[in-house]
Formats: sequence, C-alpha cells, structure tokens
Amino acid sequence: MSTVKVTIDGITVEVSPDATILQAAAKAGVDIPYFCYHPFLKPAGLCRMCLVEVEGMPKLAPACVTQVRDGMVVKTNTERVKKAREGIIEFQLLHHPLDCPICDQAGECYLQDITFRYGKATSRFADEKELYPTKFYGPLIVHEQSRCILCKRCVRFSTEVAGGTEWNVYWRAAHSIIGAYDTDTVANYFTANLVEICPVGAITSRLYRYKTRIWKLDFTRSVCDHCEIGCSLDLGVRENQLFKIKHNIMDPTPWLCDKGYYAFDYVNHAERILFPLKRNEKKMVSVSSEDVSDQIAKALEGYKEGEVALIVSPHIVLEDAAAVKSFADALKAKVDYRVYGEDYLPLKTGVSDISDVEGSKNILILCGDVAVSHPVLALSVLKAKFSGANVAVISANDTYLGERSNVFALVPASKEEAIAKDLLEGRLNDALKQALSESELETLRSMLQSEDLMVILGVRASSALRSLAYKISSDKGWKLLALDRGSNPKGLFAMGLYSDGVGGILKGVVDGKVKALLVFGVDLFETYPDAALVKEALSSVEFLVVGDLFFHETAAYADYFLPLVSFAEDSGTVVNLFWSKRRRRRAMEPKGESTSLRKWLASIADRLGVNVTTEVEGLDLSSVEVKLTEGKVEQVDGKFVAVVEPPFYRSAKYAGWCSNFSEASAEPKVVLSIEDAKALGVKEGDKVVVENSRGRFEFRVKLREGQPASSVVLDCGYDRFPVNLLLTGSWKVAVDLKKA
Amino acid sequence: MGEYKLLLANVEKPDSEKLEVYRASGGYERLRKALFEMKPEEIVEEVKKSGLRGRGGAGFPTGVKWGFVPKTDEPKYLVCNADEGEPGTFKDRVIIEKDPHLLLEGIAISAYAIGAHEAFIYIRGEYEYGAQVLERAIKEAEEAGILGPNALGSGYDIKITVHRGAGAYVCGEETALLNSLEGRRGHPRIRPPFPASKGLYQHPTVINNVETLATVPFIVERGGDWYASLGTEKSKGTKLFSISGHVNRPGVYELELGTPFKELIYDIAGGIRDGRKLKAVIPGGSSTPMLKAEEIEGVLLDYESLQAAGSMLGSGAVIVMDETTCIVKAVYRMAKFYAHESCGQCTPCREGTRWMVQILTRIVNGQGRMEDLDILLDMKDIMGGNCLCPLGDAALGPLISGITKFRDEFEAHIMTGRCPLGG
Ligand SMILES: Cc1cc2nc3c(=O)[nH]c(=O)nc-3n(C[C@H](O)[C@H](O)[C@H](O)COP(=O)(O)O)c2cc1C
Ligand code: SF4
Ligand code: SF4
Ligand code: SF4
Ligand code: FES
Repeated sequence: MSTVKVTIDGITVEVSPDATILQAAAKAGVDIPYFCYHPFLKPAGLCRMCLVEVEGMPKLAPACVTQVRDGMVVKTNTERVKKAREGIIEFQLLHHPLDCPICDQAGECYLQDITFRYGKATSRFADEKELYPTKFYGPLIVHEQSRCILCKRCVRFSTEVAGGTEWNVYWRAAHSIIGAYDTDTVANYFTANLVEICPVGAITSRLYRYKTRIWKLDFTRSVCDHCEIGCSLDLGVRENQLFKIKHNIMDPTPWLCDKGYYAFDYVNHAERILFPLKRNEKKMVSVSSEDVSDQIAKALEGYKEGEVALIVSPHIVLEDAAAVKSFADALKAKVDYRVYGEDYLPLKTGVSDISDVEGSKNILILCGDVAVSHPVLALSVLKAKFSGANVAVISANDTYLGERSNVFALVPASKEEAIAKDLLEGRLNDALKQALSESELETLRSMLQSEDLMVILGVRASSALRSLAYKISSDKGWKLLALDRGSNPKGLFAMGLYSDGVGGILKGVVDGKVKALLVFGVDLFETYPDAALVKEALSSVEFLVVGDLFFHETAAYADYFLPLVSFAEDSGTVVNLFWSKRRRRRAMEPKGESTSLRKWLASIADRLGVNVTTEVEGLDLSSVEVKLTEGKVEQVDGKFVAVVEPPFYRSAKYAGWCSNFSEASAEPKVVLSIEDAKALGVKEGDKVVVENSRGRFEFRVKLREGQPASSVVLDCGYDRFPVNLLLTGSWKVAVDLKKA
Repeated sequence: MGEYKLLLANVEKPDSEKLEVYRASGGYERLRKALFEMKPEEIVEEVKKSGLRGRGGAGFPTGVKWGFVPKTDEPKYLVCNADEGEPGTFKDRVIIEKDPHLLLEGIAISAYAIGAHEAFIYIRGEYEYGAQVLERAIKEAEEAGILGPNALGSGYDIKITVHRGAGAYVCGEETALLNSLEGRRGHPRIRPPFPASKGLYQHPTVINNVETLATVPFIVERGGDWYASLGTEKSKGTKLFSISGHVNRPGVYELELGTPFKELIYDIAGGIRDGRKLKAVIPGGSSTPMLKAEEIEGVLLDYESLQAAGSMLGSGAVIVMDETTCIVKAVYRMAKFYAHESCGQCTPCREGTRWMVQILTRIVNGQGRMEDLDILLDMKDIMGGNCLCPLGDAALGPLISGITKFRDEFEAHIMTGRCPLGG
C-alpha cells in the first residue's frame, strides 16, 4: 500500500493516505488533545479540541477529521493553536460545575487532564453558571447534564454501534440535553459502553457511584466469566473488594455488555459462604477445611463404581475441569456440565474469530436471542449489517437484534425448530411466510442462495438442528457458529466432561443407580429445566456435596458445602466461542476459606489415595473432533406454548446477587401477542396466571408487536419464583393462561 | 441605474401564480428548449458562462458547483433552499408566492442539467402560504404534463416535492438541511464529503437558493453571455435586495449588481424615515458585518465592492439603522438570535454564542465591565474559523463590527450604566 509523508512539529512520519492528522500525530508521538474523537466511532469533528495549524490552510483544521496529504506540514505548537486550545477549554468550563471532588470520573477525566495540560489557570467567567438536572436512568446509569461536554460520543455509540435511536440529543444550542426522552430506565444491554465512552463524569455507573476513587484501585486484566465470548476485563480491586470493571483494550471488540460490566458485585456479597459447612440434622454447621475433606473422602469410599456422579457448571476453568475429570475417572464416576438440560455438545466449526462475523455478507440467526446469550456478538452482527450485510433473525424470542435486522420473524414457539429445519433445507414454510413481508422473503431467499452465508445457531437450537446445520453448511460452504451456554462449555467438552447429560445423571439418582452426587458451581433449581426432577433427585440422593459461593436451593439439600472462589479470586484458562484459549487472572485474594474447585478435589483425592491433575497444557484444541449427537427436532403442542428464558438482566451468573444489575429487570413478565391479550381481556401491565399440571405462576403482561398468537415467552431467573417447575426437560412447554 | 425587472417581471401581474398567466408570457418554453434542444452539459456550460453566483449568501459560482456532480449512474438530487431564515432576508418569498412557476421551471431545468430526476424544495416552516402556493403550482404543472414523468413529452422524469422545515435557522445551512430532509436532527455535517459527491441519502446533490434557481430559465432563454452582460465585470446579473429597517419604502427590489448603495437607500427605498440621519447599515443579512454611514459612501452593491468595504453582499438583506438606534441593543438582539439558533454541536459556537448573550445582557442592563469588551473581541480568535459550520462565524459578524465601530457606545453603557440614547 502506498503511504504519504506528513510532518508534524518537525517530525516526519509515513502514514496511509486515508489517515487523519490525529492518527499521523499519534505515530509521530505528538499529543493532540481531543474529546469527541474515539478510535472506534466515526469521527465527528464536534468538540474542536484538536485544532491544529496546517501550512497552506487559512483556518485551523480539526485534526480528527482532516485527512493527510503528501507533504503536509502540521504545527501544534503555535500561538494560534495555543490560543484556540485555551479558548475551547475555557468555553467547556464556563458552565461546568467543577465538582471534581465528588465526581466519579475524577482521575480519569479528559476534561481534567486536558485542562491541566493545556488550559489556563484562571477563568474570565463572571456570569452565572447554568445548571441542569441530573437524571437517574434506572439502576445502571445516571446522566449529569451539567458535567456533559456534548461530545456526543455516547449518542454516536448508541446509534452507530448499538443501532438504537433512544439515546440522543434533545433541544438545541447551549441547552442541548443528552439522554433518553421521556424514559425513566435505560437498560439496553450495552449501557456499560456509555459510561466507559463518556470522557467526563456526565454518564456514570450507579453501581460504582461514590464508592471509591479510581487511583485507589489496582487493576488486573482478566476475562469475563458470563459468556463464551470471553471479553477482556480489567478488574479494579481495593482492599480485597472488587469495585469496578474497565475494558481498556479491543479484545475481542472495543465493547462490553452490561453483564461483564455490572454483574460482578456478587464477588463481594455479604451472603457469600466463606467456610465449609456440614449437615447436622436440619442445620448446617461450620467445619474445618481439614475435617471436611476427611469426612467427604470417607463417605465417598463407601460407594462402588458408577454410584458417584459429578455435575459442574459450564463456567469452570480448564484447570478445575482437569481435576474434575481425573477425580471422576479415578472414582469411575459420571460427570456432565450441561446443567441447562442441553442434549447437544459444542460444535467445532471453521469460524475462528469474531472478525469473521463482522466480515460476513449474510447472517442468518436461528433459535436464540443472541444479544442475551452472547451480547457482544450481537454488536459484531450489527457491525456487519452497518457495512451492508443482510441479517435475518428467525426466533421464538428475540429482544434486540431482530428489530435491527433486515429480516425478522418472531415465530411460534411450537414451530420454531421445524421452521428452522425447513429453512436450512431451503424451504420457506407457511408458518414462516406468515411472519414475513414479501420483501423480507425475497431477501431471505437471496441469502440462502448466497455462498457467503453465516448461520448462527442460538442456545435453544436442539442437537438435531445442530447436526443438520452442520451437514448442510459443510455441503454448501456456509459458515456455522453454534452457541453454547456458559463461559467455558467448549473447553469442558474438549476435556471430555460429558456423559449422558445432567438429565441422565439426575434420572440415575432417582432410579437409585447414582447414590452420591457432587454438584459444583451451580444451583440446579435455577438452571435445569425440570425443577421437579431436580427436587426428586436431590431429596433421594444418599450423599450430596455442593460447592459454590452461595447457599442456594441446591445447597439446601447438601450434606457438605464447600466454599468456592469467584472468578476474580482465581486464575485459569477458558476456551472461548472461537475455540481459543483465554487466561483469567487472579485479581484478589480468596475470601475466607474459599478455595478453588481443583484444590478441594485434590484435598479429597489425597485422602482417597488417588491423584488429580490440573494439567491443561496438553489440551490440543486443534485436534478436537466434531461429535454430532442424534435427537429429534423439537415439537411442542398445546393451546399456548411457552419459551422460558431469563431476561438479559437475570441472565448473568449469580445475577440474583448482583444488586444493580438484577434490579434492571425487577419483575418477571410474560410476553403476549396483542391478539392473545385481547382474547384474555388483559392489557400491558396486567397480571396473568400461567399454569399447567405442574405449577402455577403469576406474571406481568408485556405486549409485543409481531409476537405470534398462542406463543408466549416467560421470564425466569427470579428468586423464589421457580418457573422451572412448569418444565419437563425442555425450555419449551405447553401452558394455559388466564387473567389473574 | 434604477430597478431592473428580470426575476420580478411577473410578480405584479394579477394571478401571477397561475399556470396560464405564467405560460402566457413564455413560461416553461425555456424548459422545453432545455429538454429538447440542449444537452445537460450545454446548460451547465451556459450557467458557467453567465457568471451566476449563488444567491443564498455564500456567492459560490453556480455552474462550477454543478460541474462537481460526478457523471455516474447513481441517483442524484437537486434541492432548492427555500429556508430563508437569515434575519432581514425576505426576497425568496416574493418569488415563491408570486411566481412559483418560474422557480419550478428553474428547478426542472437545473435538475435536468445535473442529471437529477428528483428535486426537493425545503421551505421554512413559517412559509405556510408559500408552501401551499408551490404545492398547487406543482399540481397544475404535473396535470399539464409539464412536470412529473415524461416531462413535456421529453422522456425525462422530473418529480418536485415540497418539504416544510420545522423552524430552525440552521436548517438553511445546506448540510443541516440535508439531515433535516432525511428526517434527522438538523445538525450540519462535517465536510468533506461535500454534498456534490455525497449529499442527500449519501448521493450526489446540488443545493441552490430559490433566487439562484429562478435565474436559470433566463440564462437558458437568452444565453450565458447575455446574462453576463448585466452587472459589473466580476459580479454579473441582477440581484434581489430585501431592504428593511428605518427607510421610507422597505421592500424587495431587483437591481443590477453594481448599483450604488446610496441609490438603494436614498432613492429606491425612499430614504431614511422621518428625515433622520443614517447611522449604520447591515448590507447582506444579520451575519454580515455592519457598516457605518460614512463607510457606504461610494460603495457599490456587488460582491467585490462590499468585500472591499469590509463586509459582504450575503443574501442581499439590507438592514438600515438610523441615528436613534442603540447599537449595543442591536448587537445584543442579534447575539440572542444566534445563541438561540446555534445547533449546539460544536463547542466554540455553542458556548461562545451563549456567553456573548450573558455578557451583552449585563452590558445592556448596566452591569458591564470594561474587560467584557476584550472578552467579546477575543471571541473572534476562539470562534472565528474554528466552528464546524459557518453559523459560528456568522454570529461574530454583528458582534465584532458593532464593538469595533461603535466602541464608544459600548463604553458609555458600561461607564454610565445606561443607554446614552435613552433607550
Ligand atoms: C446558518 C446558515 C443559514 C443559511 N440559511 C440559508 C437560507 O435560508 N437560504 C439559503 O438559500 N441559503 C442559506 N444558507 C447558505 C446555504 O448553506 C447554501 O450555501 C446555499 O443554499 C447554496 O445555494 P446558492 O449557491 O444558490 O447560494 C445558510 C448558510 C448558513 C451557514
Ligand atoms: S454524556 Fe458524556 S459522552 Fe455523552 S455527550 Fe455528554 S460528555 Fe459526551
Ligand atoms: S459479551 Fe459475554 S464475555 Fe463479553 S462482557 Fe458480555 S457477558 Fe462478558
Ligand atoms: S457552528 Fe454552530 S450551528 Fe454550526 S455546527 Fe457548530 S454549533 Fe452547530
Ligand atoms: S476531537 Fe476533533 S473535533 Fe473533537
């Protein structure tokens, strides 16, 4: 590629001809101050902080939007530039409240830093400062207009990256207001980026508000533990408390979702169990770490081959998984991680980086709400769309990508799998046609004809659908991306931590074959789509060990409880969605006597006279083979068929112990079609009873345009609201509805 | 030199806005000539030859602007800027209300010249009647087969749509206008890209003022050379002047460029009312620096002469202020306008216009300080040339000229705490 030569303050650099002066200056090591410029947003040229002098140009040029020319001579150290910079800073500060002492941004504020470096020490302002209202947009963010410098970074993120319209500028001139008009709560899955992108303290996190100061935090770079994208996170710790998450590098994308950003305060939660417990009649009493290992080992010694089984969370690191695997092998015990009742296993496909998604021309998303299960992936899909790709979402539930796509069909829950199957096989069946307009059908057909097609299978897609998609994609040369639940499912699969499913193990317990159960990192009542089966199994198992952070409902059945560490207190390796290893790093000391799963297992194994390993170096991901599982395309019939799913703000790990995060979804809702609502005589906000022979729950009605009749979505993931009772192994179920 | 009625030739006829009246004096024959006898390039060539410069304020050569439109197959658009928001300007309104077909004919010819099949008239929200007149005229012309698909049977389609603004001055700025037309916030866009390559919906777009486009039929009819023979060596043709303020006959007058300034004020507009003395005049709309009475001595109304005098021809909106006018208040009033109309996107304009008003309010209320004048004059360095669109610079026009030329009046307000004119 050809380059051009630019001289900045006497330093000559070669840059690409479409570089801006600002980029060239960065290369030359010349600092040009800026507010509105952001490396991952379109340049806007709004704040005028970056003005520089260019030889031959009569006016000062904004460096962030001015393209270089060969031989261009730029000066940033002239009197004119100095005067302009001082003027812009003075202007920015005229009505600024200067409340740095109580501002959460202080210490990492562009306005503070630039004023110190380039501003004048005094102000000529003798008039009254205009103050603006502060607006709390629900539990996540607060916007303080008085501190806002109107750089529009937040607005540009919201529109250019997140594809929304709600967060914008209102009114005009100096009285422009940034925010969401006529809305009390902004919880759009990606508010984290608004806080992070705001160069000043105008948008701040309510979780972090007034908690500490940024310079008191020590940051450790780790990896998010909420989904298998595995975004890089910087964990800010003070006095062994985790206070703040930052995302300072483009890894894998410049953005973060609200799970990664807010759903971490469970780490510090007062209800965490920090010491081992054992059952003493109806009570749990504390026991020393030594004794607990002894006693568990002793108890396990009594069981024969096949009588012990382990269930682990799909979030555990590979090092723990290695220990689990060797422990299980030594005891000849079954083990599985598919706690959400999945009948499928991860599929290794050719998609090896998130940039493959961003570069796709056609993206077809089936059977899942990608923005909830893999949030940042949704932004990459949107990036493809903004560069001209066709995006189609065909799903029984979607809360984000669909309305931003070219083709969007909310399909009946009962027919979702059949529609997806037909579509993969090239047929647009009647149920699908009903949900789409003529032009959408046209686009969808052209997408299926294209060789450049990526199919993304959501977490609901069954094993049958996955196998089919795998075969068809191989034939047609499509790319395939199959999403899994958890943050390390691919790693656990590669380590061989699966048998005949968590359901199989639970049934083994009920049948009396499995007599001792060890459950780590998961509350099965919350994750497994058949609470009755969980209850039956846990009530009847002879010996139950539960390890976790909190004493949840599964723990209530335990004979022993082992306190585990959170992701922030442990290092380890995970395998991301694209089959690459990622390192989590310890950011703080383990609290109390909590320790890692592998340490607990090693200590028990020691007493059993067996060895466990934590060795994962040998795990070769390139040799992982595809294991297609058989199964039937799922079909559920009934007067109403429900899909049960946690809403975004309940879908993070330990969401119930994340205060601000979970508050953003305060109450369980049922999504209804307008038609059904009419027939039931209910409107938005009314209560509806949802029941079947297994249970009965009350939900608040939420109407959704495009929602097919007889198909409903039920929220799960709420404390003391075990919707899983309605289920029988699948997340779809027949229910009846009536007005409460 | 007197008035020269080219654009205004029809406006006083009864029912001048009707198609039959327009056609009776050769209306739409220029469109016929363009469509049947001329290639688009030839029209652009004639307009270049005519020396016509944009009448919206910036005075950019129209033919040159059209020449920037790439000769590609992508859709192209013509946009007629009828936002007429500059204080003091009310000249486009006469054409819109009294001779709408002249404008439509000009638009149709210009659209053909740049290869556009769709044209929009962006008209200021307050011109409700004007919008109705235009809509009726478009309907008439479409029904007569003059506009619309296969215009005049030429095989060329021309669709003209009227779009009403919502009352923001900044939407007259061409890129803010495009955003507004697309249904977005009326915020100016950063340039480059220029509208000629990426304008409306990111397609090549030409934006011209009403008066500019209404001139085009005459150039097609009589040739660029003929038009260039009007006016001066460098400022060619005629121009509409909307004169307001303290004159006896305010109104819209069409003059050849190069007419003496004093002829307009004292002769054509009937002189200063009540026999008072002229104090200052704003020659080209509120954004252009004001001139003192003595500064218009010998000045001609054309681009170069006004520039040499330290101001601009602008949109030809002449605001006349007699000796009873308090310049401090006049400047304050105009500053308020800009502070209200700034779109608020860029720092220097948003904050500068607000601060100007805060300071001027104090001065008007008798609480000014001498150092305030230095701050106000300093705005020239902080805002001047540093804003994203020309509105910021426009706000400086009256402020800086007012303070430099009438500094004593500002100082008197500050020192005595009241207006020396008793206002
Ligand atoms: C703040 C601002 C307001 C403007 N308002 C108008 C207007 O009301 N009418 C207009 O024709 N041009 C207006 N302009 C000029 C336009 O941006 C543009 O230059 C003009 O429409 C081009 O047409 P012309 O070349 O035919 O003059 C304005 C410019 C600025 C900066
Ligand atoms: S809230 Fe922050 S990011 Fe948004 S415009 Fe204001 S200062 Fe910029
Ligand atoms: S996208 Fe996934 S990994 Fe990234 S921050 Fe969100 S939950 Fe964490
Ligand atoms: S100069 Fe004023 S009107 Fe123009 S973009 Fe900047 S703030 Fe908006
Ligand atoms: S950084 Fe260039 S204008 Fe804001």
